[in-house]
Amino acid sequence: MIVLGLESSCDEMAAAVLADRTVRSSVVRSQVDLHAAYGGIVPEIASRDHALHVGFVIEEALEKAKVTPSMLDGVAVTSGPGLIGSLLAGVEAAKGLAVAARKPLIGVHHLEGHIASALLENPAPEPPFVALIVSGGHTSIVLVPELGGPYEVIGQTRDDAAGEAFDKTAKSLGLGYPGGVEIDRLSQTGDPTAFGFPDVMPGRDNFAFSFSGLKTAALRLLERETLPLTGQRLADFCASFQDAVVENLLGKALRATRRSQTGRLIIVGGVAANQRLRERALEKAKGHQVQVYLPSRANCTDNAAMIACAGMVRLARGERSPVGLAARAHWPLQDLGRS
Amino acid sequence: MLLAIETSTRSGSVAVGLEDGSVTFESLASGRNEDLAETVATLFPEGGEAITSYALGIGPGSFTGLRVGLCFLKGYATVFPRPVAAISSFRVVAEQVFEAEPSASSVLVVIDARNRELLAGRYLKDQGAVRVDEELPDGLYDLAALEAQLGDWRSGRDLLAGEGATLLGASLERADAGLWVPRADTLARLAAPELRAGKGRTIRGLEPAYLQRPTAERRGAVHSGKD
Repeated sequence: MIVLGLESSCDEMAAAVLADRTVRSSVVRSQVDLHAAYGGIVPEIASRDHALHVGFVIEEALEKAKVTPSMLDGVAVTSGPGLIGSLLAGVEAAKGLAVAARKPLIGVHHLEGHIASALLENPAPEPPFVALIVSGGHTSIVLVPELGGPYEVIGQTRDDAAGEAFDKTAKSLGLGYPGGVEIDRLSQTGDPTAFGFPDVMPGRDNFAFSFSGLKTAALRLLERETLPLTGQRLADFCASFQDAVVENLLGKALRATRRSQTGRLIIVGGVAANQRLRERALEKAKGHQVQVYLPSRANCTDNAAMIACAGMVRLARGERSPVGLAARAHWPLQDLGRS
Repeated sequence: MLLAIETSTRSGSVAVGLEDGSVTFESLASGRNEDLAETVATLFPEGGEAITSYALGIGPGSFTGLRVGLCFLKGYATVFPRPVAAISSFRVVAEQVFEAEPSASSVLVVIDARNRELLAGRYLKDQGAVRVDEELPDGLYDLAALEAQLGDWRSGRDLLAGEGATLLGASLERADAGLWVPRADTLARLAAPELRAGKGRTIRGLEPAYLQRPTAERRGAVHSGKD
């Protein structure tokens, strides 16, 4: 089966061609440079750039894969959740291509796409497993009985996503955008025990997160410092903050995995590219007798191969979306797979 | 065969123009521009192989509406790459008014751009042909400044059209409100001669005629993070 995937839920316009589980092409146009001056994503700027580039990105993906539209078995597109103007660019282009080529169309939930990113790796985890989905917009622990759902959300953030906390704290430190990458880099030479951060939302049965609390704790600590932090002090602060986020994420995800008795944990989403998270996940998993799966960094950030993969699973089941498919800014993952 | 798409307002439409000059028109339900794909699929149940060119209402208008039409067509043109004529949606409205009101000498098309600004464009009838007024081309204008200068542009029977018409007071005669919405069949008739003259272009690098910078660029507003 050959599927074209499109992803445009936020600030990346991506297209990919998947032939069974082989990625034939994966093109990602990032808008980081466009939004850097604002220290965050500007939805209207994102929408305009998507509308300008969607045709180029699709054609590049098809050309690199040496595939023509007539060879496709389906078109998969992220139809939510996300920024509505951004989503719309990918959804409408996918509808246009599917209608013209008379190919099946399937709308994909963005988070299901992230879960599917683990299936593009070798070895790929066999469901059931637990997924820690951690990015700039989402932080959830999800039980995945099989791809396609229904999914059980074991826990999720009550306020900021982990990636958002990284970016906002980086902004407080005067670092560039996206701040999570900068904190990761500076932490390499920092002491993670130099600053003490609280354990937010503690408790063995509590799988909810609150990264707003950690962000506030960071601001309180910075009030005692001479700003701006520089040199080793800056590296120590970054390492301490990062460690607090990582330990919080992993502690809850590993406990949830043990409780699920699946023995398998996948960590997906943009924050899964964080070096400290990857290292600590593998270290801590041994003590919990859990097998951890970490997608390659290219598959962690938003991409269309993961959307094609999730769409392929649904298309293989005979599922189809109507050509009137609408983008959805809000779409609870729990709604997937419900009859 | 020409496929014409106009989605710059809440009342979008699609038209198919044939070589003999006849035009088939389909309106989309009000506020349902995203039904465009279903409508085109219905018009071309066997696929769009017979389409030789496209016409697109490029704006100004609703940013979302314009992107629906443009992005759909970019996807469609991936399969059937054909030349496209990108026509001002204001020019389409002006053409409709001139067709209905042969005695009109000018048509000023306006829509509300908020913050006491208007998107406006003035069109003149010159020896039977409609052309844009180079003094007032499609663009973003200050409401008070535009209103103050209306008297300077008197050229005969001057008509006002577009959803911003009510903001300009009663100094100009308003065209029938039924003519204010740009229609795809008018677009198809305007585009056909341009396309026959080889003035079509590729669609890949096409952008809507926003005529306004994003609000965030003007004010520095920033979304709090990823959704």
